[in-house]
Amino acid sequence: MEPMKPVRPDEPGDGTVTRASAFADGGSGTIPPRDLPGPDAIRATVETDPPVVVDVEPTAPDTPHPELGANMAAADPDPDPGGVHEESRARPGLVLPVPPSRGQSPGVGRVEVVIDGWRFEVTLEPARRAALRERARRTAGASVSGPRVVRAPLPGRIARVFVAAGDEVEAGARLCSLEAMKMENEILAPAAGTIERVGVEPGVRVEQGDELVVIG
Amino acid sequence: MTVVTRPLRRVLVANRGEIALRIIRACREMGLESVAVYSDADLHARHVRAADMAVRLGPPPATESYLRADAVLEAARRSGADAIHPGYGFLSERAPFAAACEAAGITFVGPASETLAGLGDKLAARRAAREVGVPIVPGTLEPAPVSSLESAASVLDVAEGVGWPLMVKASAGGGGRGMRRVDRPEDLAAALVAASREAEAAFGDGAVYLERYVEGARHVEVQLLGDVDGTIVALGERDCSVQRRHQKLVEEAPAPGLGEDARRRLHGLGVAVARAFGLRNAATAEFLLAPDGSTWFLEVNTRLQVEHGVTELVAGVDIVHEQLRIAEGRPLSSEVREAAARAASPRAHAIEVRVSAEDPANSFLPTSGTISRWREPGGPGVRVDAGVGEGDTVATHYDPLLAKLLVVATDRPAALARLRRALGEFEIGGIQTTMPFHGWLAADPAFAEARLSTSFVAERWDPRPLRGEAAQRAARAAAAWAMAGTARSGALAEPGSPRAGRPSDDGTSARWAALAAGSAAAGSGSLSGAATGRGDGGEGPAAAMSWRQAGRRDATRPWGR
Repeated sequence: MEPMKPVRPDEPGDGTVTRASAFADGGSGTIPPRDLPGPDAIRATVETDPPVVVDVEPTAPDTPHPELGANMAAADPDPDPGGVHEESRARPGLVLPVPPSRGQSPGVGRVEVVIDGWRFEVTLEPARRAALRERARRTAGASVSGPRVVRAPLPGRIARVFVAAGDEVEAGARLCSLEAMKMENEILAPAAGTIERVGVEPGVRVEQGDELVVIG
Repeated sequence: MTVVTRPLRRVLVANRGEIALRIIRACREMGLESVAVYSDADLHARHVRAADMAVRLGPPPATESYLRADAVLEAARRSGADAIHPGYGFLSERAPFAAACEAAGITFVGPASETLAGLGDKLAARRAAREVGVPIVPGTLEPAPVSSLESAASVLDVAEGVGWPLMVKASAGGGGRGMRRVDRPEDLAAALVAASREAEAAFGDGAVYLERYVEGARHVEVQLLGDVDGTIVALGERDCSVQRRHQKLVEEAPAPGLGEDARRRLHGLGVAVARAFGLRNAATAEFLLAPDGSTWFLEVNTRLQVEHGVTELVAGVDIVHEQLRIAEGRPLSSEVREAAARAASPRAHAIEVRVSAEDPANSFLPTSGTISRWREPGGPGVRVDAGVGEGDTVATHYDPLLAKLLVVATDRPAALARLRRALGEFEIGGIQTTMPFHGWLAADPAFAEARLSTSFVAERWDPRPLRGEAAQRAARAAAAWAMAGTARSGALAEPGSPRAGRPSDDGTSARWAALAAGSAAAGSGSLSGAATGRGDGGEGPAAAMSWRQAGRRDATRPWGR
């Protein structure tokens, strides 16, 4: 096992898959291309932008409290010899199941995790299966980046729409403006492309996460 | 002066959320009946269930419900209320509303309408404060001309006298609106016009004035109470420097670092301003405390403040009880007089954090959602004033404040330790709140040393590394949680296998199997409370809904106590 080191990234993640053991902080590293995760590993994808993807191997020395998820304070197998381990002072996470939504792919579970008050949506699936699917996609040679869906970052009312289907946009171009709490927020294109679909019009109320524009 | 006491019997609470509940609780404690009002969005809200009666006001938008003075007065008439407590926000500081209550023979629990009118005009308040010898923030005392960019440009000479940077403020303003910081002369004319337009839209009054921006200042305020006899006391001060966009996030009492003499002087300034306007009932005088120790009067809020609780915890009195007593025409209670007498030498420290439906990683913009988990902290020295609970849906029609977490202890370090402990116990799911900010603040060394200023949040709060680290931990926590489920039920069940979705023998759920099969059974066992709270799908939510339907009571129909 690699030495313990706390992860302190500046960004939520860079989209690469890291590997961790379930009940300890650390032991992470990028997966070698041909190495499949163990049969019991679980892939957790935190839906941040970009997502945090971690394959977790079941190396549990102990069963954590059934409700508290990884209560690492209780199960930390390798306390930092230099003093109190950073993680042991952290509050445990709260894991809440999310009712399955229609159209959710079978074999994929969704949970909400609250860590230090931060709320994340996390999808869970067998890591081996996810890895196989990814490999199949790679070998198929499809360079699919796929269409990008721009979603409402907060609830509000659409004030103006600047684009129409078929428009070519540069990254950073204004797509629409969203009025919330008496402020107008401009929604910008995350990448260059062609507008595939505009799902809103001025005056429409949107909730957080609603689809606004799809860029092809 | 002859004082006529008129005992109250039934109080209509013209507000919603935590403050409506707080006032309804006070009514019950004093043996008064309470009447809640609600918009269609709040049909099942906690304040509606808590009151003795409830009256519908209108559709969800505040302008069609809680802000409609005529509808609120009509509700008071129909329910037979003899008093209206306005809480904060909404109609609380509207002089015409208070006057309409007075005309209708309904007691307005707050200052007289003339006091609201006088102090609601910030320029009038500045002039009055100067007259009674209270130092005001340097700036103008008359509205700035803003009819056009050219006329606005003529203010430049005045602005040079005030000094840069400066603030353009709406005379009728509040809540951070109609307020702009201007750093350079060339930006002044445009800022004046924009602030005036914003003020006109928000308050129906476009008058704006100039005020010096005091660098590195703290925001401190004095809690005032006055009775019909003309007795006015200060119950102590609060520090509310931890703000974003001129809106408070955290408040504490007393203000750290002040000596007894400085406190006594500050309280005296507050009482002097209140006396100039003949204050009756509750109000708060706001001041800027500059790094050199100088104190400048800002404005008076003629209502119960959101943060009144920290003063209650330190002074040992109930401000809402006192408000209702004053409204009955009774003199200040002996407890309040005694608390005022020792206000300059407080023996405890209280801190309040505002738990709001806002994303602290996204400029504190409002969030919405359904609260899937709500478990409040408890134990010694902890008070939670909440307006919501598990299963409630939070929309963006109203102020995003969900709850106030207050702690009290013998001194500031002990209060901070208690705050960290209580924050750790507070479980909230289903919606992003300001909790991460509070957790960070309670552990921040600069806050522990009380190095406070109104730019504290802007200078020190950096959510990105905190959230990034939390995301990494979230991934491992989620996977470990799923494994804890599979460990009990045996091997990991692939979807479609006979194991999938089958509850394990020991009564805990086969989580992973259930999750993977897309079954609601994932929420069973020890997590049933959370599943019930979501209110969609499964047996638990159905049961919860039927209970709530049964608990619903018809508008305006009084029910027994």
